Amino acid sequence: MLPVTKEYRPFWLRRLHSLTGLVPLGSFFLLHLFANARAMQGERGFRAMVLGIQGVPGLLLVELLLVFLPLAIHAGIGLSIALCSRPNVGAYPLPRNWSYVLQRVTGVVTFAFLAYHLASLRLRVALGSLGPTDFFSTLTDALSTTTAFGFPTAAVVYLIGIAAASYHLANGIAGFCWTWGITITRRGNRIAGAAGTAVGACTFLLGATTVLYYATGSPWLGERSSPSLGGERGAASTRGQP
Amino acid sequence: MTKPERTGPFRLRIVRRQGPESPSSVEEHAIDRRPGLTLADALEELTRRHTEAPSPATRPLAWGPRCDDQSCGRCTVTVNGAARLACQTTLETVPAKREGITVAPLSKLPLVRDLVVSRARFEADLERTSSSLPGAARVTPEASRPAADAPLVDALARCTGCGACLEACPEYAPDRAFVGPAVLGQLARLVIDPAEPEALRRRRLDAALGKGGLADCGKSQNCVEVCPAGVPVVDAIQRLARLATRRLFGSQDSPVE
Repeated sequence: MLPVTKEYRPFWLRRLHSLTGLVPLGSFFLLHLFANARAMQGERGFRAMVLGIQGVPGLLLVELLLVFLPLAIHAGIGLSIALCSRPNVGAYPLPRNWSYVLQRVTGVVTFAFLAYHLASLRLRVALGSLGPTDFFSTLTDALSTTTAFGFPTAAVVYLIGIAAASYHLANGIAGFCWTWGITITRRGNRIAGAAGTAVGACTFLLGATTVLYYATGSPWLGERSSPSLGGERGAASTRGQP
Repeated sequence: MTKPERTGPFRLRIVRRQGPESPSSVEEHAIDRRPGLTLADALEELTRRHTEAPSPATRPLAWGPRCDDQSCGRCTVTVNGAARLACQTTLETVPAKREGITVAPLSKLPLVRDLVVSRARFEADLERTSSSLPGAARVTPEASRPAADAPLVDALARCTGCGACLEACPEYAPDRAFVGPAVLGQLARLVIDPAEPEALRRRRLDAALGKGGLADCGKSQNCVEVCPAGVPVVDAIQRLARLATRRLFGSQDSPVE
């Protein structure tokens, strides 16, 4: 095995950054979006999903080991990579050079979004002021009513956060293939990039659709129903009709 | 990509410095952009003007030398901020800004004078990682190479050490440990080449994984884009990464490939 010494520290850290980014965090991001898309089946579907997750034995430990620990490692190494970078797209406005900048920018944006996302939901559960099954009403409330100057701020913040994370994952898949030597040519890595883009497009569409549902009561930008708090979404809107 | 109709008179701005400690000044010259005129031709014209009409204010411009077949890499400068070989750059392909075309020395290598920089660090990095440019290395017998890797090894051997990739790399800087794309490319060449002694190949691979090596690459791929010799640095770096993955779990004595 390669020695774990100071000489090889940057190398080990980069590999750890790459591994934590794709394996636990990338797959968690996918699972998280799929699970939360259940909200589009109304509060009943969402509650069933939440209760299913709550039934996982040792949930807190699983969360700590598979989500929060990798997140801390990935964010810590990633922030130092991003903050030490010296972008030069002014002199070299090339597509891959833009990806280099965007990968760092979306990493920082995702980190900021996660801080907000976790503080407004997960932290409140840890402090006992919110139950996991209350997420539906809290999100419906926040995403459909938080506005500034007539602008749905919270919903836009969620869309930006999901877009940033999706780009970071898409480009990160090609990066992972490069870092581990899965691809060994520029062309091969471009193909990995295309596959990554397909994954990123899926996560963005899934996430954006869910956000739009929370904000408008409809998964697509269409008719806008009034936000109903607490009650079953589909039922509430049909009940109101004569 | 560029319009061919960029001819006629224009201003050539040269950033000049007497030495590393002296202040820089910008010298402006009117140059007629004839079709096919290279930056090296224009610089030569300036040197001629300086020598034909010597004045205490202007000393002949230091630049180059030029080999004109892109094999020495010593005329690399920045043109409007981006690294180019002067002998390879026809002026009609350079988009002139309102103030003209600005030529400056490479910013990430230590300045000697005017447009001349020192490649000493690059050469020291090559030596420290027990690699070398193909010119300095002994010639590998063609027959002993595996057919599959021969094109990559040959392509990597085209590196002239011009420094364009170092200038364009967002991770390479004088104050950082990173050896830069060119050294990684040469390390990869000598690690991949089975004609090289096995022990040396292993040592070079470990050097590539050490401080200032492979891990500092930010994957911007600017190196390949600016390389005047078309050296596939990105392929070389990914090959090193694959060998590194094997090295992670293999023993220090296990063969490189």
